Amino acid sequence: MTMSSTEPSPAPDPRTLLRAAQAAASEGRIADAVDGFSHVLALAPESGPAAVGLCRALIEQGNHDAARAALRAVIAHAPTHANVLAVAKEWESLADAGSLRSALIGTGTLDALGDYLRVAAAQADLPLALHVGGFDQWAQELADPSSPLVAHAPEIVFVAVATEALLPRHADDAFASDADLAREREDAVGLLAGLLDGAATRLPSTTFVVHGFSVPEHAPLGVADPASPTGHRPRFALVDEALRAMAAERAPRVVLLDQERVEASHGKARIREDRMWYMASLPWSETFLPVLARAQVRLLRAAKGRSRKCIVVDLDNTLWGGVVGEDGMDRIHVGGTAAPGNAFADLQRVLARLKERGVLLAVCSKNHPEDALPVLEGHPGMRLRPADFAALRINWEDKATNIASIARELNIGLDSLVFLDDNPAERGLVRERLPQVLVPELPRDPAGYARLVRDLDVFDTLAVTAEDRERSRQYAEQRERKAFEETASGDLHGYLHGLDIQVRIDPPTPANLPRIAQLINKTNQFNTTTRRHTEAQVAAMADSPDWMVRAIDVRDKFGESGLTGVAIVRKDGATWEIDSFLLSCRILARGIEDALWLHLAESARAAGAERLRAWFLPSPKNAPAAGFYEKMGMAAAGGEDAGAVAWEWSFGDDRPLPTLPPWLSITDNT
Amino acid sequence: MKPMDAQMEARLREVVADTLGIADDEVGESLSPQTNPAWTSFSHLTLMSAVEEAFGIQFSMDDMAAAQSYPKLVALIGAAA
Repeated sequence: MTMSSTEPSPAPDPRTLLRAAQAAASEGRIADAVDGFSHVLALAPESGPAAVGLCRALIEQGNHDAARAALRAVIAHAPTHANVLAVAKEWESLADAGSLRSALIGTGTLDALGDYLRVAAAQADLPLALHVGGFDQWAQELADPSSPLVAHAPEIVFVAVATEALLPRHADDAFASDADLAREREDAVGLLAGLLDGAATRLPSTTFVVHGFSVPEHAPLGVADPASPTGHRPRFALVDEALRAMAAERAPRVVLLDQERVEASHGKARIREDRMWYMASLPWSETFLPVLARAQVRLLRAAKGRSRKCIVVDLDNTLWGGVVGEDGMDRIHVGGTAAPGNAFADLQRVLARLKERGVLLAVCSKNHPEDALPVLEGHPGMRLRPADFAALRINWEDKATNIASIARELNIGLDSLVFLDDNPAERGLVRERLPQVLVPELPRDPAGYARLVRDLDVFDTLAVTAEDRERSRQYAEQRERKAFEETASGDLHGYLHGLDIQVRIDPPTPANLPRIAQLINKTNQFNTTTRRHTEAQVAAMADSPDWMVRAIDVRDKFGESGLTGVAIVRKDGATWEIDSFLLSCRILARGIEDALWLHLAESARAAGAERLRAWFLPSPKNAPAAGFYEKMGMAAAGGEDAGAVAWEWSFGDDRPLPTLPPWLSITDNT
Repeated sequence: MKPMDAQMEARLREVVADTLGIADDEVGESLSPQTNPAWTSFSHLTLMSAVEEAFGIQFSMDDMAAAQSYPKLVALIGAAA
């Protein structure tokens, strides 16, 4: 019998494979289950059941990282409602000591938003241990000292109270008097304030994110509303003002989420799904839930200091239309009132606004400098000039090498960078060679560029500090410092004396607290413990007699570096222990860290402490701080797994403290 | 009332199994909130939504309140499709 030619075997049916993998899992054949679910996902990456099955099987094998990756992958591929709800439950079970303890309380059925929040936060690499409050239990949870909210000990709490719950007359009563409205407004804001203040006594380091009140979709008077003395939007504007004042008084413990803007942007008509609202008090539709959760995650990231710091842009067809090396400066399109020049000018305006907030701009372009620089310097349509950029790479080298070089020059991590380039090949190259750089996909049409950059939410911070506003200028000053250092060539002490460095040691104040928190959350290299405290937590430490918080402000003859170092010490009777010790890398290697350490040691000794302790907890980035405590003369005092080392200075033996570097001038402002 | 064809019912079983997070063979005549803990009042709404999307139909509140077992769900889809 002759053999028939080989027929292709029928493609495996994902459903059959899924059933087989599920059977394997329930029979305890975990390795088979892992293989089976992985096969299903290779054929059908959108399969929620396969991702959940794979996640559980991997957890059985002890591989939590791969389990998490599987959950992220299916949501990245297919964030359907069913997938989000299924995956959220798995994230709940994966919550561990590394998860960010948080809570969601408010009015209505919150479980669905809780699930979307869990998933969105996990996708943003901020897995949560989330407590979702009971139905309409928000006031009790805030007021009761033994509530589940308090027991959960959250770092961040979202408070989502519906407008109609506290402001029904504002929403519906067209003929309410100003007095009635004022009373309702004061009662609503007053109730919130009272409950938040009470909760703060039990949760002193917690940040409360209050969803602001939003203007309802329909004005009771319809088209007559603008002519009415008690118009809808004016009355809600007064509410907004009162709420902002309440939050400002309590900053940083209380932060507002701009619910009105999020709803307006999505479309007021699409916020609620009527049947689900009537049947189950679900306040938000399936299309709005992910939008609201994303807004919450933006605030989570901002509270934890997870923001990118620099945007690197290409020139040809990114900052202007055309290729200057081919078209010449006169024929490229930028500025003016006609397309596409106006679109490119708009993109430059958006970048300039980012720069004003503290985001650094840099250029990476394949061009002859003599072609590109004249455009930057002199083309009348340009909104950005060379001085607006903290670094420029205009050459013919590959962009990945250039971008890595920019990161080194600016002394920031690759994970702090965003790269914009109209050329898909360049985008692909940088994504492959430098995966930590964020490379957004650009639309082909430059009409979409400005919107795309505005929609980037990776630069969010809770506050814009004076240091942020000055950052771009400080990079220019740093270039001058480097030039001076080059002239000093070799005479280090001469150079350091010549800098005329002034160091001021400050106590924490409401004014410098945002910057202190910002530094704590973004400093990676010279950071001995890398503990990420929120601003509310630092505020609680600042108010506590058991903690000492110190900031250092540095200036030299080239300019102000500003608040660039933080130390936090826990005072535990005879032992003072350094919880956090960090300095911006811009001010290292000048002895400033020595001065800060001396201040802590002298304070401890003067207070009668017997010893100063400090841990070094190694991280992937903080090798520069590893030898510091030993250099200051502390003695090794034990260690733990994974390279953690304890150090100690004992005051009992009366050993003289190290001396202050002579080229520093210190002012103690505490 | 149009009876459901085999292909449609196979699809329905998949949607029900995936949405409730149960195995395909748990979906049958006896499936209801009383017989399977995965079918809660909350997952019921998710299920209604998933079925609507899979079959391009819309249920009224009364429909959704009535669809409290697998056979009742099948009947409901037959009426709506």
